[in-house]
Amino acid sequence: MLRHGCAPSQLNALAAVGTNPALREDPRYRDAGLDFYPERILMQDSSGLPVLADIAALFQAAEELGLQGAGTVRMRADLVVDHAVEVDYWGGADAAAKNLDAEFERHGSRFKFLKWAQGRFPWLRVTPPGSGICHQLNLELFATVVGVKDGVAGVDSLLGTDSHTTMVNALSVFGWGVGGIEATSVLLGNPVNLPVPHVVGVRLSGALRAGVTATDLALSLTAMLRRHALVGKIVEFCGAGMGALSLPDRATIANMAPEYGATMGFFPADAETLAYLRMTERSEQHVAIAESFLKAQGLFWSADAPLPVFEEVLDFDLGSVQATVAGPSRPDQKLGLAQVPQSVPPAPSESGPAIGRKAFAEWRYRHRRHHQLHQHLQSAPPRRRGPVGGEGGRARFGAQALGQDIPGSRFAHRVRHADASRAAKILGRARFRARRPRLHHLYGQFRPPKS
Amino acid sequence: MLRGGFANPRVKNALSDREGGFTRLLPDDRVMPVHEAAAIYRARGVPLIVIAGDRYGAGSARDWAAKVTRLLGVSAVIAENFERIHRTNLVAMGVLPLRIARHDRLSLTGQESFDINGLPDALKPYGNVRLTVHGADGPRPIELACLIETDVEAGWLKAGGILAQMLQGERRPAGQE
Ligand code: SF4
Repeated sequence: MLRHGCAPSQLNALAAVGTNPALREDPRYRDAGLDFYPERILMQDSSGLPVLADIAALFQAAEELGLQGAGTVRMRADLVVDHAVEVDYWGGADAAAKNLDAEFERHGSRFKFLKWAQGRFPWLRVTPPGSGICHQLNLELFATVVGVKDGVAGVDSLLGTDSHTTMVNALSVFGWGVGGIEATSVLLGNPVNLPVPHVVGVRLSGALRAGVTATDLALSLTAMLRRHALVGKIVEFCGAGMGALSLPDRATIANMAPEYGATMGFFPADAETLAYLRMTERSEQHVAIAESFLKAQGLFWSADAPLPVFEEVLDFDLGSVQATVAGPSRPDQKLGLAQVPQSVPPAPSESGPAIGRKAFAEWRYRHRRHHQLHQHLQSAPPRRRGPVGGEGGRARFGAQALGQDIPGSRFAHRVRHADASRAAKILGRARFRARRPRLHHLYGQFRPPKS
Repeated sequence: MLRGGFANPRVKNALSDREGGFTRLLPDDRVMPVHEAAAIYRARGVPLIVIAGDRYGAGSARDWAAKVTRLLGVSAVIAENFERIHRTNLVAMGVLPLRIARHDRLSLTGQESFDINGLPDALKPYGNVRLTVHGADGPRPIELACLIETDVEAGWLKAGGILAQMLQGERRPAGQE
């Protein structure tokens, strides 16, 4: 971040407030802000398409006006097609393949555009449908943790167009979710300006008890953290308990950052981070560079490291976590296992199958509805609606939000192309004719007045 | 896309007596969909502003919301306060967000016309503009705060939005103050 274009005055502010948070209100530093130029951008198809359409339209307009140099993007961008899948087939060995076929049929025109964009923009890499969820791919493939550019090593950072971009904070990568327009702006070379952040330390102690999952932990932590005003603040985890958390556990917690209102849920790099890089087949050389860089920069955490300077430290005992279920309606509410039976509405009186056709159709409708809603809401910081466990709010969609937002279960198996031929097949099918797509006519509106 | 702007079925525009995406075309005094009125105003060369209340822009699908505002021909939005992301998006699209103090009740009939003076000098972080309301009882001046937070944002607004700025080649090179 420091090397990527902050003004000296901003660096001074960061250094001063970083070592002594009381200086935050000092007039010398108060209004400095930080210009953040991330290393890369991560998009998913639903929010990323408008970004690419805008940029394509802009470049085309620049070309038509004969402008030199207006059409350059100097950073890497990844777009993962993971929001288009719908489940039409299930319960059979070929269900996944059939669903993928249906997806290609349904969204062919979008995919054609993406295929074209990938050919047109050297800085863009599109990951085809069926490969995985963008955040998981970010952890397993895209994140470098420490990257080398022109012979100089530096930390990885990104902004994503999905609110759960924070999942990669688990791997000590700096980043969070933004809106599409902000992403466009960053791709065009502008910084994101943020105030010198408040950093709240969460000191983890103890270890999870047997039978307690990462999901239970994330829910308990979320419920605890929501009691503190964390909007616009960064949460950084520390304490001996952190060492006991696996990377997937950390990812589950980091993923939930928007639910507890924080900008990030950051885990500093440690031995587990390096082990994960090795497990996901990053090269030995890469891991070695990462390790020596992080250690030389004092960014490597170990259990005996002194506590960093935080504005506030919250304590959390991992041993206190019990098996919990979110709900009855919102992810920040929680129920102990024993309370669940009472929270379920009584079964319908007619005897019959547990879930009928109609009920299933209704469930599927609501499930999709939630998914759309979630995409709409994704860049919204969760609004505080009274105390935890209160009534009202987004109650109707909360229950589904739980299933969607907590990917803990997903870590149980590797989602990356189970058999190698599969990816090749997908790519083969995605070989579209590179035709100029009909762009929407936005750019006409943005032409400068003729003088 | 234009039809989707300001079309929330539960919102009632104070200019119209119908709920949903309607407004009153003036001076013709005809209630019609917002996008149709916007097209007529555009043809007549009438610049538009939005006057709103509290927490303007809170809600979903905000990227499009800001683009639509611009495409409908709105050049400024006056509100008591703005939802954070929507404010940034408006500025990126070249629409000026203006904050009116809570006690400055505009008490409008809908028949007024407005002048915004002090531009482009006010296009800087925390600048002020003067809004003049021309109503039945003569002109009334009101100070409004420009909700511009950084010099980068001021640059976008001066250029007419981030995309327009790119086309004008005025982008400052990365890392330079
Ligand atoms: S389920 Fe939610 S978090 Fe996961 S990819 Fe879809 S929108 Fe993003």
